[in-house]
Amino acid sequence: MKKRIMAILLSVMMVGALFTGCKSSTANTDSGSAAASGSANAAQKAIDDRIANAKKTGKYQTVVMAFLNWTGSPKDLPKVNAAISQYTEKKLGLDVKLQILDAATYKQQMTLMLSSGQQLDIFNGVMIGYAPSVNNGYCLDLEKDKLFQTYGADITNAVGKKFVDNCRVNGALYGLPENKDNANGQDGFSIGKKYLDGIGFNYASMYKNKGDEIIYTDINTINNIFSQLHSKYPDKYVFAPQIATLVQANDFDSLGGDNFGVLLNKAQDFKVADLFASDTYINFCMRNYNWNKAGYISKDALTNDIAPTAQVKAGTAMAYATACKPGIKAQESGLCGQDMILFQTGIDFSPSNAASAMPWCINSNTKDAVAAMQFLNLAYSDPVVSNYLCWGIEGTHYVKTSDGHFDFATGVNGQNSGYYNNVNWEMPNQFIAGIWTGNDLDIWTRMKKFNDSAVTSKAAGFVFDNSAVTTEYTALTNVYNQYEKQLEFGFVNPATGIPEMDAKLKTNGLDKYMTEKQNQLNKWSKTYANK
Amino acid sequence: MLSGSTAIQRPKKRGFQKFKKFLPIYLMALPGFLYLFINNYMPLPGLVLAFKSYSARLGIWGSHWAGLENFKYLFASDAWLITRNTILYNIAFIIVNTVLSIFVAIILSELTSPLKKFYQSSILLPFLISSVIVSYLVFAFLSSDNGFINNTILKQLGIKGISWYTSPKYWPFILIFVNAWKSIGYSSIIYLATILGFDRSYYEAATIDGASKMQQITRITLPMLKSTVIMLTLMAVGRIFYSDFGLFYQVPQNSGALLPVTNTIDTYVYRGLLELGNISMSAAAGCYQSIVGFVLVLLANLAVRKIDKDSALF
Repeated sequence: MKKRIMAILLSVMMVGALFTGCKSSTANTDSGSAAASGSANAAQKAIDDRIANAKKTGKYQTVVMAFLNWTGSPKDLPKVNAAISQYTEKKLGLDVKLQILDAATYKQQMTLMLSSGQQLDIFNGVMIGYAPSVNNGYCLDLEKDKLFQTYGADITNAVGKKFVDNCRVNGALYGLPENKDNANGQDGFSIGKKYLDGIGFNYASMYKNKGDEIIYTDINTINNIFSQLHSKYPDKYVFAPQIATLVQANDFDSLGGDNFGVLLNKAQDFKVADLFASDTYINFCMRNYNWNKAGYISKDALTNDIAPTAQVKAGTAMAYATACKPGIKAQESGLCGQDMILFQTGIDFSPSNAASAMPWCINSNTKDAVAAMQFLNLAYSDPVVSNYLCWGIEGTHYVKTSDGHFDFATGVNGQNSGYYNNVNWEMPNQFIAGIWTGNDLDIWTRMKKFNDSAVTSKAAGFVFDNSAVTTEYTALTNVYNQYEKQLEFGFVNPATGIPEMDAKLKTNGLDKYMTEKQNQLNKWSKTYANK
Repeated sequence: MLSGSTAIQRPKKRGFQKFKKFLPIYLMALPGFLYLFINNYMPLPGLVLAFKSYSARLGIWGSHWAGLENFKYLFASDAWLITRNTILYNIAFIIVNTVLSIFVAIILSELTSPLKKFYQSSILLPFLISSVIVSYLVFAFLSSDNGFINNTILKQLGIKGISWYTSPKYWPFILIFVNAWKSIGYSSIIYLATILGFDRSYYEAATIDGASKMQQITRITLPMLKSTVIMLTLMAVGRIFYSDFGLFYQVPQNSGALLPVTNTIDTYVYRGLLELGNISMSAAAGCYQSIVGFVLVLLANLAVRKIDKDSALF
């Protein structure tokens, strides 16, 4: 009898769970069909409806927007939320709640939030990955019922149709690119000014034009600087390595963000090749191996997860590799808490995922896709909102200087500011926000020039979907994890380490993975390339 | 007839009276049962995800079926390595931890020092420390640049420093040691509680008969501990396909060079799925682990029943 009662109880609970599952899914389709009645005035009508509803209930509906920074939720976030909401209540008839998460936990938190049914309307796809987000069904098809065309018209104007189209997956639009640097100034190095002064290195004469922020040079100069730094400051590490440098320092296109099958040599053809069998990879590892042997790199680098900028800030390291772009000097100096000198030894290169690396997506489970799209539209087109997102509240976090820059408000600095995220590359449109002191006022003109003049991968806009080869991907990732840091931080002789890894990757399905990439690329190139 | 009817009535009445009598105890158990139900039984329907290709848009029940597709990656070419690591480490942990914790429990039970309580608490302390902190305690010993072993112990002995985090050969011992340090405190308390529950008259009788302390331990304590040992071992065997993620991921500082000896099923799944974010594949791994664990418990119990019927769990 007891057993039977237990069984009935259990089945009731399970059926209950079934129904709750159904309920939430029907709610979604409703909001979708509401958007279908879109017309030229649909946008204004949606706003009016929300304002009328807010007057009735005394409460505005909220749009929740999530993105990452480096330090977790800033302490003045409630103030900034209130300030944006005050503005958007009038403009759009809605409140905005920013959810800012620490980069270290962003991916896990987002996966939880996206699968749990917690309110989250807009999220940035950085770290979660665009293709995985689409495959897992996290992203709303933005053109469903003409949502994007009806409510997001200003977005295309802000970033350009070309970049919007580069976010398409098999023709469908699931994410929107932000206005940012879409290229990497490759193989750049950021070195502390005080250390260069310490060895008496004359960098000032190396700038091509007066007022430049990057010194264009070759790797021999860097080697020379490193060896001088090492003998002058033997108790500090010269170079703090990080994993991202492989991509930032070499002109291959990793096609979808993994390194298993790439387009080599500036990606000017559609031939998928094995990176680990290429000279590019061997030379890169050899360089780090030599630096490691020379004692430039910490013996604990393999297990050290502290960001290179933080290591420089703490005074344990003097230099690190970075990708260059206009504004990089101010950005890196800010992160390191000291003046940094930037060197670049490679070309400016724009890989295939430049636009779709960190797209803004609307959660497929959002209650009100129209409101989400309308707020995104405002964030891309309204300088007031963009300033709130990028810099916080005027007077509290920043002030306008007499020459038209933004600067910290009195008594505020990067350490104690209640809202200083340093992630403007992630914001929808930093080009319309204020320009921080230390940057040239024409930085965005130069950024556009930088984006346009960079060598662009021929596969620009290709998004690789690895859902058919997940078994291989898991195995390959585990093999690569074993060797990645040892080889790329120079702890193992590349002459023996690379062939060993490549052989192991091959037995774990590298060829199959590359074939899948090649097939998708061929198919894609027939339809979308050169358009 | 008469005796038959009373036989039916009596247990019923007794059952209710018993229930009434033990009601406070049932109430005390209620939070535990609720926890077990919410945490271990309610998510069971979610196992269906292992056989679906999950889409957040379609929900758990609406997602399309995928058959056994999600399980494939667990059997890729490196699978034997991670399975070997998982099982061998767990067997080593079971043996080492059981022996050590019984040893500690017996010592504690024989102690008459006023510091007994202090020993008991301090041996439990490592169990309560989070793996992340443990990993940095270990790092403080093993770091190449500033580690205690390289810079103090080996230097004194005139031995060149060892790059611990790139030398896989030491790690099976390090991990077994760290695991023992971390977990014997807890299991020794279970054994200690059992030992303290033994009837003291056995020991008194043995003392009168002239048995030494050693004889008392080997002839009385150990045989009487047998059923507890079997129960705890059976429970450990059920989790032999799981690995302590913190121990295998955090303690080696996620060092790639150590993967051949530190990659277990859990860390393999974590590393593989970190980028993919594929919920169905994680569910498949969990499903696989629980099924194998379940079968292993049944088999182990069967084996115990063959040897000693009274000690079997069921």
